[in-house]
Amino acid sequence: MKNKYMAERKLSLYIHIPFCVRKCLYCDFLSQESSRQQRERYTDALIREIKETVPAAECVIDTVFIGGGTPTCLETDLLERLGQAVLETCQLSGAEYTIEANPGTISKEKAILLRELGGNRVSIGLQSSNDRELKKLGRIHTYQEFLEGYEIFREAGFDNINIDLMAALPGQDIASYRETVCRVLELQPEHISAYSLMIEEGTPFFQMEADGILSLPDEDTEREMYDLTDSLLSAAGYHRYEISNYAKREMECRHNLTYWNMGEYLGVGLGASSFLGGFRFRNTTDFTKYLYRYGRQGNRGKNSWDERAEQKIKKASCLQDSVWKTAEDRTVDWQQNQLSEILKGKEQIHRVSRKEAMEEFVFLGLRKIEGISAAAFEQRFGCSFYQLYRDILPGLLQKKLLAEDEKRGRIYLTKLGIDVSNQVLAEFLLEEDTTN
Amino acid sequence: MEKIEQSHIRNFCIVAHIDHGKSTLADRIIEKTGLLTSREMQAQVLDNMELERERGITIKAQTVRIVYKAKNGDEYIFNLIDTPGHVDFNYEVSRSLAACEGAILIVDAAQGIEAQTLANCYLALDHDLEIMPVINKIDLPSADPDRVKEEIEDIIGLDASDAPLISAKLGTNIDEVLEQIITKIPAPDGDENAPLSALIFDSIYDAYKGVIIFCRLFEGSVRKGQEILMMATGAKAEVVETGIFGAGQFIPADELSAGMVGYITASLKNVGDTRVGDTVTLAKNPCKKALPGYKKVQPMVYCGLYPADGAKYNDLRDALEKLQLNDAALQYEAETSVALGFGFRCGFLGLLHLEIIQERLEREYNLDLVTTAPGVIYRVYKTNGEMVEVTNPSNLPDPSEIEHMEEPVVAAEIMVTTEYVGAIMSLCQERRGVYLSMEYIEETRAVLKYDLPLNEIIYDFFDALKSRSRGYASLDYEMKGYVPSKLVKLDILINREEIDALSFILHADTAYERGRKMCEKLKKEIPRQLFEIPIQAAIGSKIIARETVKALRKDVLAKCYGGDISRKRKLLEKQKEGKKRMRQFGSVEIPQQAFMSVLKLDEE
Repeated sequence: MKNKYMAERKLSLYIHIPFCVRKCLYCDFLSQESSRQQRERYTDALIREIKETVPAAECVIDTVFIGGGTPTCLETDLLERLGQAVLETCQLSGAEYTIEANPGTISKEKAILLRELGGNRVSIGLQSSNDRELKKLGRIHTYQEFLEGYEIFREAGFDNINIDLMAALPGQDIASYRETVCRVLELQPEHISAYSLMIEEGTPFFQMEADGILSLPDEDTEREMYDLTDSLLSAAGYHRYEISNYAKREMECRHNLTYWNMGEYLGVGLGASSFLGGFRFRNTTDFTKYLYRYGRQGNRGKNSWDERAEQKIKKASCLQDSVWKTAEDRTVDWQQNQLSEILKGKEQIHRVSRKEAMEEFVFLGLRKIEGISAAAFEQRFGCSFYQLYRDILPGLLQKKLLAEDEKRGRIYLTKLGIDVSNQVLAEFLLEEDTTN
Repeated sequence: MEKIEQSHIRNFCIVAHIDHGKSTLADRIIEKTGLLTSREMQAQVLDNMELERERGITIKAQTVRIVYKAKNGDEYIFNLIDTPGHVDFNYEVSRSLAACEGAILIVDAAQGIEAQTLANCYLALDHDLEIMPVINKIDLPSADPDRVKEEIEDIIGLDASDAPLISAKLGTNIDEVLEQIITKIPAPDGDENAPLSALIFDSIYDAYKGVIIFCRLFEGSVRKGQEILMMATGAKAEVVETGIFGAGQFIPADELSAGMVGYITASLKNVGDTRVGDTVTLAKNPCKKALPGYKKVQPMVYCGLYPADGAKYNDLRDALEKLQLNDAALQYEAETSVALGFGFRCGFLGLLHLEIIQERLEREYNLDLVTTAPGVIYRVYKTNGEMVEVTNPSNLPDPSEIEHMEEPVVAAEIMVTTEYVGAIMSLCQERRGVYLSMEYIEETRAVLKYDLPLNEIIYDFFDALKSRSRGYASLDYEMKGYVPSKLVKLDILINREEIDALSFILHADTAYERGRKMCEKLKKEIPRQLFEIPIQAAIGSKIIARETVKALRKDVLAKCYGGDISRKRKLLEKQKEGKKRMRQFGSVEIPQQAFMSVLKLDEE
């Protein structure tokens, strides 16, 4: 089972739990309310998928992130079975192992169990310390319940905790937002994610906004909150390393950095996305189909999905590597049969072209405050970053949307650039014929 | 082909107000004459252009020859000449009417007589056509045929006592219409041995046959090999083929003779040589006098057409060239705009004509266009005694050189139910109309006559009319002439730079209001950018309105959750796509949509 490359290849593993006690009014993630039976069957299927695909990857698992939904929605017995499966299947060596948790579903028992099963980081969804605001968001908990949950994890020995915050909430003003941030800072979590509320299509909030019954702060207020986040957190010793993420020194989330660095990751569970071997792909978002694929009575035989995947891999493997390097440090290649095993039953299998890879390297990398390294770009794609983007770089630098750290050879978004990052990032999309 | 006696030919058209069922009745007539089986029938045989079908109107006249076996046992040839149904194409309508001996007048059994019913009916009477009223849509619950009969008798003065009551949609009583065509509409009686005189009522360009002339022969005959002469344009050519119109196809015939309707091809390359209304005769043996009524149609409305993608300039030129082959009324000449680059100033018969051309360019030639505000031909009398005609606001001479200006005025007739008279009068007032008269044609309906400046009705007058009368008002108009007017040029400045493509000429009294509306509209259309953008309306150096597009403060990607990159990529791609549709003016980017949006200011 082990192969000689094992020590060299690192992979991040994402595990999706698509359940919540109740869906929040702003949420457009893949999650739903569920019955005990659905949770059981899903956990079974998930474990099966992990056992099938993770060993096939033959990697050291560098980070694990169990996200959702609300992973702590699962009962203790299900969490235990899932956690055991991860331990049995994955080579976890010094891995960052995060579990997402939401107040109202946290218990001492679960916290201790997760710690025992190797969990070393928790990400708790708080969003606001104001109970009225929480209620408007459709959250199921109060601030007090969050505090209790936070303490439970601390007591269970978690010394790396993230708290999710949101600004620009309905009914929120500067004072109440400041209070949320200050109360959170008193707790001294290792990591804080601070996002502005986005109104996504298909959510109840979207309809409410269209109906004019959602009293959102105006743009100036939202910007003030946003600036406030940066100044309060910086003053408290957190450093901003990504557009919306702040951490104490050395406490950056390695899992998320994998995404921004275009590292390889495998997603398991309903709708989970993966990027490895130069392919992006995902699992079905159809719950029933997922259970059918990985559930007890699931179909293990070859089906039409698998044949399609097979064809794509064969077609792509002729091009592979002559096109671009899928990781910064490539001492190993993915074997075709290995990919076939992992891609079995996946959807939206897409071989990332060199052009797309270059674009993604830039638009993902620029989410990091330190930006991207021109040298890393060149090493990965065999062409000069400056040369490729010579038409747009001077303008963006001159408009002070981008800045350059010449000593370190890095390009990064300025504060202004971060504010309007979509505008800047869209510039880096290439025309079809400019990449060769 | 067996020669048909003139006594067994009937040449007629159908006239009606828009939507009263002209095309549907034409379909039923064609169906009943057995030329096509029901299965072959498309919903509307005559309207064969895709665009026409969608808009439910007939753009260019088309014609069909059908064979009807009458109840008396004889076979008759019916030439049904279709007429365009919009005021933009009045002249074409008049030429189609001139090709007929009679007209079927359709009146909607529910709506009764409307402005175009009257206008078209009078037009038909002017051509001495025998008019045969038909009352359509009797299947509607609100149908009131007796009232409509009375209207026809009272208002037009036609005997409607035996007018067929039909439902063209359901095919009810179509036989009665067919029989009446024979009894009521006179047969042609031209002299077959006289020199050829044929009226052109349409011409189209075909890639294989060249120009195809649609004509009605009044006297004489024509056959292959003869040299024909277009009397007004002077063009000459040898006849290659003559024939008649099947349903949607050309059927060659050895000869066309007096009384017949048919087509001639003669290796002509340009419809400009075969203008509607011209007389075709034989070069060697011409008729003494051209048929009356020819005039060269002149565009009334002008606008700039620019390719959204500057690289498509040549494609646009080729497309216009091709469209002009088929449409002698379309004019164009190259022009340059600082804002929009290379394009064309184009002349149209009216706003509908403009929209049709624009849509055809976009649809059939796959061009993305930016259109500037439509305007009319202004006459500028300069202090040096010279007079220049201006269609492009950018060409307006410096105000110091202008002595005075004149604008075109139309004579408009608006028919409206009495309850909306007040609303329509105030609309006309707002549009600088000069009230002439009001006549009650019956207790509940009146005809308002106004002189209206053409530039006030080319934008959205028709829409305003409909909305203020809840659809009950109808409009007909014709060019009247030029009158002196206090006109000014309104400029739009974006980020303090004048955008020439947005300038236009208008009456001084409406400039402030329009300038304000344009600024408001542009504010909505121009996306926020990294800096504040002032939008100003100015007359000369005087700023009369201002809006500001605030600086963009936030445009950030949401959480990239669980490594799902595709959504973010789509968002960025959409953004980039949007940027492509922008035009760069100095440091400001203006979406092409903004240029179009100011054309419809009164929508809200």
